[in-house]
Amino acid sequence: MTQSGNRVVLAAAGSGKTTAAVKLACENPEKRTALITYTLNGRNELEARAYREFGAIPPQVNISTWYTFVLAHFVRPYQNHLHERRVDTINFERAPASRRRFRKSQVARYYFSSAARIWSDRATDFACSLIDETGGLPVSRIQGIFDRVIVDEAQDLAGWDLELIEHLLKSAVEVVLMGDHRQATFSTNDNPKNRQFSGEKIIDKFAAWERHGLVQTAHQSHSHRCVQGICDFADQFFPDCEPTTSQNQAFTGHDGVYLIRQADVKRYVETFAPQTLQWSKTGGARVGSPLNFGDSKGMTFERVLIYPHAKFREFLGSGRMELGGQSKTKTYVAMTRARQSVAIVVPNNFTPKVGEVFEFDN
Amino acid sequence: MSIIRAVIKNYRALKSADVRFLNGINVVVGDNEAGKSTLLEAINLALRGQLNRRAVQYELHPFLINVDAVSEFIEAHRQGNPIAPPKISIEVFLAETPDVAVLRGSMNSEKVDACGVSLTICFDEAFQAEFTAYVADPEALNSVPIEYYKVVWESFAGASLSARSIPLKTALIDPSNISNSYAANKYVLEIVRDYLTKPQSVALALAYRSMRGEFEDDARIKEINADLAAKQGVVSDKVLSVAMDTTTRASWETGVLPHLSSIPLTLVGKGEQNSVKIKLAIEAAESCDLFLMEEPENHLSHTNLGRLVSHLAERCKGKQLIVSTHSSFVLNKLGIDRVMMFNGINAVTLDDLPADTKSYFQRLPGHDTLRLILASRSILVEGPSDELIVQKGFRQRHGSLPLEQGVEVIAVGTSFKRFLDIARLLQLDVSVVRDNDGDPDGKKALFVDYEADETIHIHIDGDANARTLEPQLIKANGLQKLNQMLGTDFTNKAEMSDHMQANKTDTALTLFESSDALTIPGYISDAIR
Repeated sequence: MTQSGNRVVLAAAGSGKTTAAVKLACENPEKRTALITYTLNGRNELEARAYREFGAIPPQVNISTWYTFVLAHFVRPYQNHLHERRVDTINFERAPASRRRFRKSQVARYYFSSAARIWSDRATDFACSLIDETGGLPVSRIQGIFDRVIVDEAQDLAGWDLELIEHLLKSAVEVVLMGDHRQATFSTNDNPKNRQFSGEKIIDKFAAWERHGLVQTAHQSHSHRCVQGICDFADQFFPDCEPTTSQNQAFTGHDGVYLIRQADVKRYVETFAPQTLQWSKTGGARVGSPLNFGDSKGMTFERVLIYPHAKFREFLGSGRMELGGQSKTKTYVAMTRARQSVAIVVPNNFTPKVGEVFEFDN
Repeated sequence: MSIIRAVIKNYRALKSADVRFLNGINVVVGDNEAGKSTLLEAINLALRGQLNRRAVQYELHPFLINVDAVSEFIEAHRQGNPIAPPKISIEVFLAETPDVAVLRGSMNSEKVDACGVSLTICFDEAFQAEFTAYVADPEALNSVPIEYYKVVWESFAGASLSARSIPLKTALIDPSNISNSYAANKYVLEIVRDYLTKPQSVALALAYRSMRGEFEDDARIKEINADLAAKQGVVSDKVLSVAMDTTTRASWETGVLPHLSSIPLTLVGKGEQNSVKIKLAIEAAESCDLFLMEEPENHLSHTNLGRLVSHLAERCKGKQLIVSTHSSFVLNKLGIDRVMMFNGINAVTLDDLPADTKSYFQRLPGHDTLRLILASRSILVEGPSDELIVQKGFRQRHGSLPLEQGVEVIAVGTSFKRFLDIARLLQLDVSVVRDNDGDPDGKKALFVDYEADETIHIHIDGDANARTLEPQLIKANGLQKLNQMLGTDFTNKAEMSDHMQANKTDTALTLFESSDALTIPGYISDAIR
């Protein structure tokens, strides 16, 4: 069935997924490719990689954010079948409750915050309505423009996005979804559609598509970034996934995951100079210039120092994994940022069930 | 890549036009006021966002908007039934190819799924307050508030456009519009710049810059500057010197003049200039897909025009060429089957004609059709003798010859129906004057197809005994009168008739030139009106 080459590539953190996406897009000048990601930062990263690897963004490649792509190819071209006034922008605010009671048939009020601004979580809903309304014209159009669509950070797709992707999966366009459901930390979409597939559960949608012959799944279970100790530790968060194999053979004498007593933090920082990561700003004084877990996505550091949130600390104490939703996925992201070492701050009198407390030699 | 259709609303002379184009060559013919140039200009505007070679935003003026639309707007406000300010809309539909697939969508006035671009010049709602003040006193209204207008340039996919984002490249070649020598120079230099390869233009810019440097290194200039430096404190506290302009605007384009055989282009004859401009433009625009060309015949002798048109046809092979012309020669050379008869509203191509009529005209010299198309009214007759009598009758009735009043009298032999097929498509006002050949009913029956056409009038006399023009003239004027006018002395009508028919054109010419009044047979007189 998947003769068009549709596939989901599940890539472990540090496997070089973004680089692989850029290479895939840029290497074949014959394939007109849309290379898409969710955030502006992500798009900038894709562009920067393309310049770094190829010196320029090749003419057959179009890099954009998901919303830019949806507006340009699935909203505007045929929007006048449902809404006359040109849709200028996306409204990224959450629609207030008072605006949520309208029915879909009240097109202007259901989808739009003003005549020219569409609610972000309803943009793909609108796109799918247009596809129905026009008998599939936007899909037939995109087939003439792109041979392939690559979505990086595909785990961020949600709500009606998944329906739109399904239209693409059934089209002549080759669809490559690259992502890692373990890093599903991003949620701008609170549309009730496909709620059962939100966050890490998007893996279930990928599996459903595979069952229906719409995609094939491939795994990239290696990490160029993290040493094996870090991979093993992070894998505990997702025991159902394939174990990650490290391809980082560097040895520094301080490699893997450590627990650091609060009292030792100052000396530890002076010795190893890690990047500090925190769940959120609240919860006391921090050393260094901390980054929130969620914001560290896509980044790489030599070493990190993590201030865990309560649930994470409990896991370290009990060995029972009770993290869920974003507290789990964001922690997974934080854990997998470092090449060589991850240090997790624990109270001075902490007795761990998971991991070992780091002791200075003297 | 090619354009297949242009839909234009309220742009200058074009209130509402909808024109379809063929692949390859299109020859646009039409009356002086039909808006041929405007049509070309509108297409160029929508495809390049340029007017007078500048971004249209900087070229907006109230007269861009159709005068009728403006009057309607003003009138409506004065009548107390205000309407929205008029807007210009130009939509260009493109043949669907992979290169232009990204321009596909339904964001056009007909909401049809097509590839294309639209350029709209419309009121900018950001100026609502100013507009309210503007229309507050309807009596003082005399125009549209163009300063509150904006240009919206989008593809049919609703994407904003820039000149780069339209894969189809257009060149508008309008040498006749270039009046002064400065503009002509600029025009040619732009073309030269387009023609040069990247390394060539870099080399030229470098050479120009180093030449400016050499100027300053010249001993004489150094001496002058030293002298000027001594004046420090007189005109300024700073040191005064002269140097070549090195600001960015002083590029080679401003200091270089094109020459033809060492003569500055501006001093070469107008015709040669024109021909050079066209040829250069075509060479420069090698990568163009569409050429829009206005009246290439201007200033050219027949021979030179022949050469130019052959050159055109050769160089534009495989591309789309839309050329406006008043020259039947250009039309004939480029192919009458490529003619587009444009009347300001729509354009009829010979493709719309019945196939046999089309091939008939492909074999026929083009000028007869052009005369028919361009006339405000035509009288079709069989031959030169009929034509002369119609001319005489017309002058007797109106005091001037038909042509002076825009009425063409065209001798078509027996090909009336070929011409009527065109007239019908263009709704041209045409009168047919035809002999009954002794069979009035039979001849009238030939034209029964055109009875429903309001602009087509058939004039055939019902008297079977007066078969042709000559018996009709004898019947109307009597033997004595004709003997007098022709200087003959026939004693019976049959002899007179034989004589006249044996010397058709000569007798008609004598009657035409005679200062005596001729009684015009009724069916001809009806046609003259």
